[in-house]
Amino acid sequence: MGRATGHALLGMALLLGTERALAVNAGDYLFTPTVTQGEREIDLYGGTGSSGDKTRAESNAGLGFGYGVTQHWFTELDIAYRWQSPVGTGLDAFEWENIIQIGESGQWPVDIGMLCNVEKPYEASRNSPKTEGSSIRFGPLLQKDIGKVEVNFNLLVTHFFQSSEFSSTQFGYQSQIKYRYSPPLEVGIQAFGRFSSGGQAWAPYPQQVIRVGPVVLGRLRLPQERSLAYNVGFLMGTTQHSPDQTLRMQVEYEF
Amino acid sequence: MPVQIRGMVLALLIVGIRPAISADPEYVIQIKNHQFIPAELRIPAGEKVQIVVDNQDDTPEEFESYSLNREKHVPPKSQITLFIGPLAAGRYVYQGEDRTDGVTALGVIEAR
Repeated sequence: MGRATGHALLGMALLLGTERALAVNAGDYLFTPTVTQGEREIDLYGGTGSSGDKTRAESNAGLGFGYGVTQHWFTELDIAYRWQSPVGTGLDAFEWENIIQIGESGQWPVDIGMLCNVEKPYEASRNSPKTEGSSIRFGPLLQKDIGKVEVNFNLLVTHFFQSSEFSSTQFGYQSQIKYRYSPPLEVGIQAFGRFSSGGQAWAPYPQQVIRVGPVVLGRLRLPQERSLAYNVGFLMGTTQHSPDQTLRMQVEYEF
Repeated sequence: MPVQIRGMVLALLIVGIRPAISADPEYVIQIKNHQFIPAELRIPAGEKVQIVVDNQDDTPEEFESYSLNREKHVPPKSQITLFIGPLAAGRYVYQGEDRTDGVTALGVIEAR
C-alpha cells in the first residue's frame, strides 16, 4: 500500500468515524437575560476549535445587528460563517435571535429571560456540512448576583425541523461565573455543554460535548453613550466528542 | 371546565405574587431638567427595595450603575421600576445618559 493511499484511507476512516458527530460551534457565546431598551449593537463573534478524538477542527464567525425594542425584548439578526476541514470556508446560516426579559432585574431571587433563536442554514452551497435543516433554539436564561459575583446558567433546547441524520431535539447548556472587578476587566469561568450526540437526545457522558475554561470580559465606555464590550474565552474539552481546545471571542459595539 | 381551572390558577398566581411585590419598601427618584431628585437617596442596608424612577423630562434618560449592576432606559415622561438589594452598607453611584451638552445626571444610593 502506497503512502498516499494510506493517508487517504486514514482520512476516510477519520471522516467515517466522525460522520455521526454533530458539529461543535466554536463561536458559541453566552446569552444573558437582561435587556436594555433602545440599545443598538453590532455583534462580532467567532472562535476556532481544534480537533478532538472524535471531532473535526472547526472555526466559526458571525456578525449581527441587535436592538432593544422594548424594556423586555431584544432582537438580533446574524449571519454566520464556518470553516471546517475538509469542507472549507462558507456562509453557514442566518439567525434571528430573540431574548425576552421576564420581570425586572432583582425582582425575584433569580433574574429570568427566555431565548428564542431561529436558524436557517445557507443551503446554496453543495459543500455545506449542514444536514440538520432549520432549527429553533429556546430555553430559560437565568442570572443571579451575589455581591460582585454574577452567575449565569442557561438550559437550551434545540429542535431541528428537517433532521434526518441527527436526533431532532437536542439539549444543551451554557454557564458562567464571573467576578465583576471593574467595568473594563472582569474574570470568570465559562462552560458550554451539549447533552446530545448523534442520534441520542441524552447521550452517555463520553459522547457529550463539554467545554470549560477561563474567560476575560469587560466594557470600555466611549463618548456619547457608546461602549465596546468584549469577552475572550479559552475552553478545554473534557470528552472525546469535544474539541481539545477552543479559543472564542465576542466584541459588541453598543450605541 | 379546563378554562375555569386555568382562570383559578391564574387568579391564585396573581394573588400569590402581589404581596411579594408590594412587600418591598418603595422609593421614588425623579428626573427633572436632567438631574436626579433627590441626588442622594438613603435606603436600609440588607433589605431589598423598589425604586421608581420617574422621568419628567421630554427627553429619554437612563439609570446606569456598575456597582448596582443595573442599566435601564427611562423613556420621556415615563416611569420604570428597579429592584435593588439587599445591599451591604456603602455608597453606590449611578448616572443618567451621557448627553452631548455635557450635562449628565449623577446620583448616589447610600445603604446604611
